Amino acid sequence: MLNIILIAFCILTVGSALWVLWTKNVLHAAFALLLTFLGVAALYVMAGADFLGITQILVYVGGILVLLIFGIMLTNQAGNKEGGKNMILTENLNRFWGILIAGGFFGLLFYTFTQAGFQEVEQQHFGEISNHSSTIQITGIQLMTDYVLPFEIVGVLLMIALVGASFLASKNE
Amino acid sequence: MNSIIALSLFGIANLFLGFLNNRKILMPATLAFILFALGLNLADWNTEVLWFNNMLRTNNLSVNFTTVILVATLLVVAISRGFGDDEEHSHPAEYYAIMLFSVVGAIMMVTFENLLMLFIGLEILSVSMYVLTGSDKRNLRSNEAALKYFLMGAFATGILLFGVALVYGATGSFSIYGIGNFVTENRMGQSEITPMLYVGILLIIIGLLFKVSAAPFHFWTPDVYEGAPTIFTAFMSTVVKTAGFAALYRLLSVSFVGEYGKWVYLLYFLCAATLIIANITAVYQQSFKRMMAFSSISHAGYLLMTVTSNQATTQSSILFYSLAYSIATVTAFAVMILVSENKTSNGKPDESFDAFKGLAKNNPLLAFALAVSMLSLAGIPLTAGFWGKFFIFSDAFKRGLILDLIVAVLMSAVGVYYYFKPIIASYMKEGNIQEITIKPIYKLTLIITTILTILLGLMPDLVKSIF
Amino acid sequence: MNYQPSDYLPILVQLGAAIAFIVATMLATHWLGPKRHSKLKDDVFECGIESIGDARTPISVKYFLVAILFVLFDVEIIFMYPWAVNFKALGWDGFMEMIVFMGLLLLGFIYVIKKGVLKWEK
Repeated sequence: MLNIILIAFCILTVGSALWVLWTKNVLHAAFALLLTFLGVAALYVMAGADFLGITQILVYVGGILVLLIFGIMLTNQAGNKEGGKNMILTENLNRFWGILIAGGFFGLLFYTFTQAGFQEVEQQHFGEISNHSSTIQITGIQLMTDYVLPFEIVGVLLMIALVGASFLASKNE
Repeated sequence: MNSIIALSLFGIANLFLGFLNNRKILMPATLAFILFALGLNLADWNTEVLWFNNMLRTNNLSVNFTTVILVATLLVVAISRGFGDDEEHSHPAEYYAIMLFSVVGAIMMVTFENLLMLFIGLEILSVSMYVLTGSDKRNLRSNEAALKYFLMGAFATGILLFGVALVYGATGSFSIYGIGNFVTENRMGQSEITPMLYVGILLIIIGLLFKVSAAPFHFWTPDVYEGAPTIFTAFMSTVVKTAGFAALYRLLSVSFVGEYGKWVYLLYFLCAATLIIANITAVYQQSFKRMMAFSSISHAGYLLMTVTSNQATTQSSILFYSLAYSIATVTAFAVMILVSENKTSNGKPDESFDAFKGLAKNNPLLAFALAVSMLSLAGIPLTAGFWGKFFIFSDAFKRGLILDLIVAVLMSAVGVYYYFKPIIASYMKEGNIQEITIKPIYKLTLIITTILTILLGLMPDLVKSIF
Repeated sequence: MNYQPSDYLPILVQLGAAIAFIVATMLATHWLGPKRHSKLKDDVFECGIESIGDARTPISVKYFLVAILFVLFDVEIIFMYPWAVNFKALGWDGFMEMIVFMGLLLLGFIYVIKKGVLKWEK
């Protein structure tokens, strides 16, 4: 049963990602990306990383995609109004090199993960971590104790992003 | 570590200083902040401390790298001239604040002990750079450069993060010494290493090489360097490069040294490729700024050579070279800013070699500073750049990187050709440049950097013995 | 007790129910409702001035800024979640750490407000 659901979500993720690649309409691509994000979130949950799944939905689906669609709506579409259709179209360039590099990368990762021996690695390094009831609790404890410096520095990073975004996107007075 | 906290707070302070009506206070304040951070940094000399559960490590190496970064920042801020006090469209408070924040990221990249800190530091540095690149909002080229840099840079960061994840999966540790122990022990044949580790190392190297713009990941560099406001180009080509190479060196020499036999071949050929591509392309440039972009790629190639050699002296070679290169680059850009703004073509600053024609006649100081910096970049004896190259070549010779050595010597000769172009233009060509008025602090910076370059060229042991 | 992905089965069921409801109602209205098309009936507004141009015009960049700020604070909220789950275990130390983190973002927010980025009419 679990396997069937897993495969279904895999197909959803990969299929919608391919849709993003093939479609020429940017808005369609954005909506297909929504499905990809949801599929990835489901895969996270099934892999036992429930906090990551929630983050994925909250940040990517709830935030980034809204931003993306806003961006599409903001874009001046004056050039693309042939036949009453109002859409932003994209072109596929450098198909040969793109497919070659992506294929090579896929081959590399495929080989890596088939040879990885995940179960041995998990026993070797991560035995105690995978025994917890939920990842949220251990993430929280780790974040506020061992990893407190990265946590605070991320605050600085977010502030830079805040200042930079408002500086770049605001109109010059 | 203390300098990281101090600089973060100073950055925030700078943001809010911008709400004061007096903009003139910003630049002295920023200079004071950086000097204060420099003092905090030097106070860590001869101590070895691990901070916050092995997140950061301060020792003499990190103090040295931090000093080079802070000195470069200090020089860049000193030539920023308050970002044109007369211009109402400039936002000096934001510029200075973001520069201070980016230095936080750079310092984290040279002090990291945990790969997580490397990633966050790199991200802070990169995000700040994207913003600074696009800070000239009314200039289309600046916008294009920012977008290009952002897209490529985000992609490279993603690749680096993927590599970190794979290395973590293979070794079970984020700490660079933990990874190093695992790799070395496995080298001894205790257990079989999965290919995950190798792919992880490969992806991390690719991500970092992108940030320091080594071939074949250098395609963004000329456009971004040319599109960004010149002052930020100077900042980018010094601070980012130093921090990137420090991070690369620490990772390769501590974590992955057990697999030296594997990654050395990759870097061996990439180094030669970087040197050839950058120097040959630089010969054909008409724009001084674009030439400097290719020059920065070629210096990445030289630095890559000493990282590849992985000798005991490598760290001092990187430090000396970064210092010499940073000083010379900042001087060159400082002169260029003055000259190009003085001579505009079609309402835009003229950044071609022609702009320097006849510079020596009425502006002997500028012409001399430019000549010294160019000679230093070319590696002519009696300048700091010569010793930088000398140390790097001797490292490579000790390791026996013959192909790289031959290529590097040949390409240094090619470099002499294009570095002499602006010197010839300013001393031998006729031109009508009136005397350019220079602010005192600007003049002082130029004098100091020129003297430093010559001094280090005469007596390299002054700093080499410290590093 | 180990965490099982099947704990999330109710969410999947809920999702299925939501989608099924939407599909069912849309199909039902499609089949059940009568369809009479005419030019007047298909107009956007039956009376008033005839509509000109397109509804999809470029919108102000200010909306975009709000969206960016939303994403940033969204990320901040995500960091609060694991802290809140362990609120008691982390105690005062965790609280102070969170205050510093929030303080950094709050300063950024004060900056944005003082800068007048969020002022709608300038």
